[in-house]
Amino acid sequence: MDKAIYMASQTATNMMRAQALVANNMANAATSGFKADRFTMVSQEITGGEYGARSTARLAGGGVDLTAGPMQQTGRDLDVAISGRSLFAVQVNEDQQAFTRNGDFKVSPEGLLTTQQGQPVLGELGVIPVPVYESISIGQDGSVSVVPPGGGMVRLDRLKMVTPVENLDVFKGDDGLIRFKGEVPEPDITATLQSGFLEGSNVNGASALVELMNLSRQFEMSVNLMSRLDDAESSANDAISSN
Amino acid sequence: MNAALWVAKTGLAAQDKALAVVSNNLANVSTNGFKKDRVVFQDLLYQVERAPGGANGDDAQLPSGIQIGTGVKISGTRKVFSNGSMQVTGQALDVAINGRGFFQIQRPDGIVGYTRDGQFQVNSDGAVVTAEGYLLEPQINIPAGSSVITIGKDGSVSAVEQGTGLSTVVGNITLADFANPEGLLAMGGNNYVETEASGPPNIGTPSEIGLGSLEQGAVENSNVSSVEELVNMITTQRAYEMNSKVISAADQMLSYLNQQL
Repeated sequence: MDKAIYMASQTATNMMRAQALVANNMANAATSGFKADRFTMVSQEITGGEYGARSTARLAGGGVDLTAGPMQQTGRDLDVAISGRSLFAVQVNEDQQAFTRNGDFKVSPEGLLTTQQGQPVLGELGVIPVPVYESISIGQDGSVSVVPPGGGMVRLDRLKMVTPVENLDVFKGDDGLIRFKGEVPEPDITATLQSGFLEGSNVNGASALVELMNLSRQFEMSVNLMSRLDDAESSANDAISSN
Repeated sequence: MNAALWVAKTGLAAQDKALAVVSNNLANVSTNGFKKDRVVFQDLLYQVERAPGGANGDDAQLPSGIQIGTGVKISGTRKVFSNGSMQVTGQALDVAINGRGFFQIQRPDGIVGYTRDGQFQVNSDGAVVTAEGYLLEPQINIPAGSSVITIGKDGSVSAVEQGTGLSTVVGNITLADFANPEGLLAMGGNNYVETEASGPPNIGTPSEIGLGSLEQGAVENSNVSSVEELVNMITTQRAYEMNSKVISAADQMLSYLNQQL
């Protein structure tokens, strides 16, 4: 059998999986703080043949696109949009940290500053307990302060923000929160944020649609190739059996 | 089958729900004390097909893994408790809360309800009730024949007795506040009930311990901004269209595959 058909079918499968990834980006075009996933194709040599003439493409991750999304004004005190490519730290499970760009926070009934999903937001000193307050504010440098009943301002903590150097330093866990592959960097004291704003998704609809189209056509090319190879095989069979 | 089909389907479902929320906001653009809802989108689980940083031979490490997300969902709708604008009506029993807090009312199911809609009336027994006829909690009775009713910024209600012309305090309106008002459960009819997410109410005198002050003769308008909602409607519609494009692209691919082979 001609082995080319397997390579064509693998390409078609890769295109379909890449398309699922693009579809997920597009489905999250309205998710606050969402960061688009990227992908690359890497060449992989097929060994085991008589000579190294063949290599196939394999779908590989391209990291998380950390470009900032558009700022959407909400006017809510506990909505914060971080500038640049820094990330907020949240606590998942007992002692595990994960990171997010979604600054859509709330005060839990237990009096902790948390995400909408209830994961405690981390300050530089740990979780942030919020006492009963008259008003709450988050400053540009990430300091969380409250005005307790009766007045006076109390500074609670500064939000823990870290800045990855490369898109490939981070990856998404199965919960969609961002994690570092290696060591978590020290808190970034230069990171700033804007309160009263939320960061929109950084998915670019136009380029995602082009990507989608491109993948469709490449899929068709592979399918076309499979069908041509089938024809070639069939005429070879005919030629042999006619003798 | 192509996973993109299912992913795009979650996108269509989420945007469809988002549009229902936007239209409910717009429908309540002139409901007194109405608080708009905001949709919170959340990405679904990721399938980590190859863990990044995994060993690939003795010295090599995979530079990047591959995680394919499975779509989006609406993790919740959230009430936005920003203040609506004040509309002066001049009615003695119209009260607006300027700041944090909720009026407490006795719902017919026995649970205490919380509302920002301060358009009160007096029922046949002389008790102060909401537009639906639910009693204000704590109950306040206006003596029959009282002429001028005054509600102070601190919630004290006084009425001038006819004949004597003396003003007497007939009750006090208290306000309830929550650690997380967004966790309240909307029951319709402009009232909310407490949940575990909202925490228990902190009841107090208006204008004290962080509670808003009361403004007599005014009602709080809906905090829905029609401009913002129309923009939300457009972005929702475009996001819906993008997801339907993914479905048609994935469908065409499968159809091509079936025809060619």
